[in-house]
Amino acid sequence: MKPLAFTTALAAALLASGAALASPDYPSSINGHLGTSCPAMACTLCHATAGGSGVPVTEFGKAMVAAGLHVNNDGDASLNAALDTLAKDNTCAVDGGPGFIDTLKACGDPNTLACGTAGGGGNAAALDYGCSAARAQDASGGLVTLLAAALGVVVTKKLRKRPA
Amino acid sequence: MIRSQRRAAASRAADDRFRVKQGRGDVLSVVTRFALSVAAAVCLFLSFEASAQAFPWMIKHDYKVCNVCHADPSGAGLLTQYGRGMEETLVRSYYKKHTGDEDPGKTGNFMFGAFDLPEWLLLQADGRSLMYFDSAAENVPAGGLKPSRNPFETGSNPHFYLMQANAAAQITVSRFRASGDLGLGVPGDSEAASITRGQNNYRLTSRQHWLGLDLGSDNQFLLRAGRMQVPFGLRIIEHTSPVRALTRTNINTDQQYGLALAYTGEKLRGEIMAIAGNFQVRPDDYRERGGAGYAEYAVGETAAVGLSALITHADLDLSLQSALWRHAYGLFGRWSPVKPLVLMAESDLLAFSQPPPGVGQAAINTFGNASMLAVDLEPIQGVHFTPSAHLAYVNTRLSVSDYGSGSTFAPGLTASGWASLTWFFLPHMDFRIDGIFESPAGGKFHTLLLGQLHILL
Repeated sequence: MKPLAFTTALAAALLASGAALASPDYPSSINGHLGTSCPAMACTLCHATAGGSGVPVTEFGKAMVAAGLHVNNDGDASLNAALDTLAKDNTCAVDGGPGFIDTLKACGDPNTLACGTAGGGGNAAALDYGCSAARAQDASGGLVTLLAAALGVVVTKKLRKRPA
Repeated sequence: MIRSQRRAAASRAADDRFRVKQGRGDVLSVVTRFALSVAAAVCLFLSFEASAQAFPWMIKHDYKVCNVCHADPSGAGLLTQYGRGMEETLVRSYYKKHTGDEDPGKTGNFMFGAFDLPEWLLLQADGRSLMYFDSAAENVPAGGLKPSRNPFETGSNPHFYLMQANAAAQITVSRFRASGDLGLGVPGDSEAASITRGQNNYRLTSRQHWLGLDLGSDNQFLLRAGRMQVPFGLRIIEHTSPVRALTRTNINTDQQYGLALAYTGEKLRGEIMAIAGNFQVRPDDYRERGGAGYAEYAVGETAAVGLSALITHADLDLSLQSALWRHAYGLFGRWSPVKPLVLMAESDLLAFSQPPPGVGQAAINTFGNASMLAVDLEPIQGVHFTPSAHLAYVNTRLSVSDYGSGSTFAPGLTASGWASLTWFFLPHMDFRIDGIFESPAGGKFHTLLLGQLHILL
């Protein structure tokens, strides 16, 4: 018994703490490299989701990948090199307008520039998660709710039928 | 004698045998069981996210099929009553004389046996924590973890990560089954299994929810509709292994909606699935549709070989940012030459077919491979040393990742070696340590150290 109780207490201590998330630091690194003090940019600068998971999907993100950004053991080296490349090439500058880097230096969103794929820029279709029937921050989910309700009905009926 | 008994136990009668109402050797009082259950439940509610148990190495005990111990006919996740009995008698450590043939008692039951569940109901809750250290944590795709003395700080390295809080249930009425799970997901993770909307927030998740119909004279077929694991390859919990991540068939977040038919026979088992897409991902362009399946044949009492295939199409692939036909074809096998040892291997050919990027240009067809070789050694019951080698190769223009497991493979060869130790030290509890030594494509060698504590109710 004692080992069981001890282990359970240990498990509780190990598990009972706040969850954390891998917070993207690239936005602050971009500010640092460009010497700007713009408000921290969202992960959607490059990624489809605010959580920043997955590969870059925005026009700026894809341009950074094409310019050599890669996720490797090099700190911010490839990030900085890609920013330098985009600055040097004045990537996305159209008709004398600002490019990606000039837009970033002006604290703007480079993905609003019309320099992307043929026909003009913008992000790829934004990836989103959750049940179709659920609205943002809503805790309901169509099919799952239906299944849960069906399960509840059956379980209730079964329990009522159980002999005392 | 023992083997024949265990084979025979793979029937419903055996399931009943382990549905113990009173157990010899049950030493826990009702109060103790309840206290343990409450303590563990508190832990579960304080942890997040999910993967589940899946033990292909059970073949060394002559268990070539999965449906004896799991509600899912292809393995992993919610345990049957018989599976709970096996976890109690064959999986965990004992600190006194133990033959493996003892009555499992009630300790392995739901909530340590505090409640007797009716036969038609299966319940299970899982909680898992993870301590994580990366020698080069800035590699993490989401932007990197930073060195910190506080492992609970956001973005710290080392990092304390709460992986799993999941509750699952199945009810069976005659030949009909309804099964599902609910969990909590942390921001930025397990997104592909989200029920609730919104980004960068805590979320309700459901990895599986399906309705099933048992068919055949001995229920050897199971027809299912709903959200399920994709049937492909070895069903292992190592969701970041290339064989699971690059084929997008891990049990963390790669489930799909569809219709599946599973067969479990004496020597042959398999499952085919028509994939309708992941309706917890939007817009529809990102949903992969197609089919997948595997078949595994037992070539001996403790050996089995299998093959898998998967073909899907999406109008817009998460990684390659174009329409994509994705193929995976693989071979896998399990073999236990001697009782303490199990060899597990899988190798999958990958193909990515993208349309021409422009007028007058050719379609882009690229290839890859994902392979794994693992050796599971259990010198004493409950203690597993599992060294394994993993290879990934893709020659796509962009990196390839799966939906929400944090596994991204850059173009080129990625090689890693894992040294894993798992100890099922008490009923319902196991502890695991992994040392992962990885040389990523285009990157520098780095080391990950992981420590996990898992509690199952």
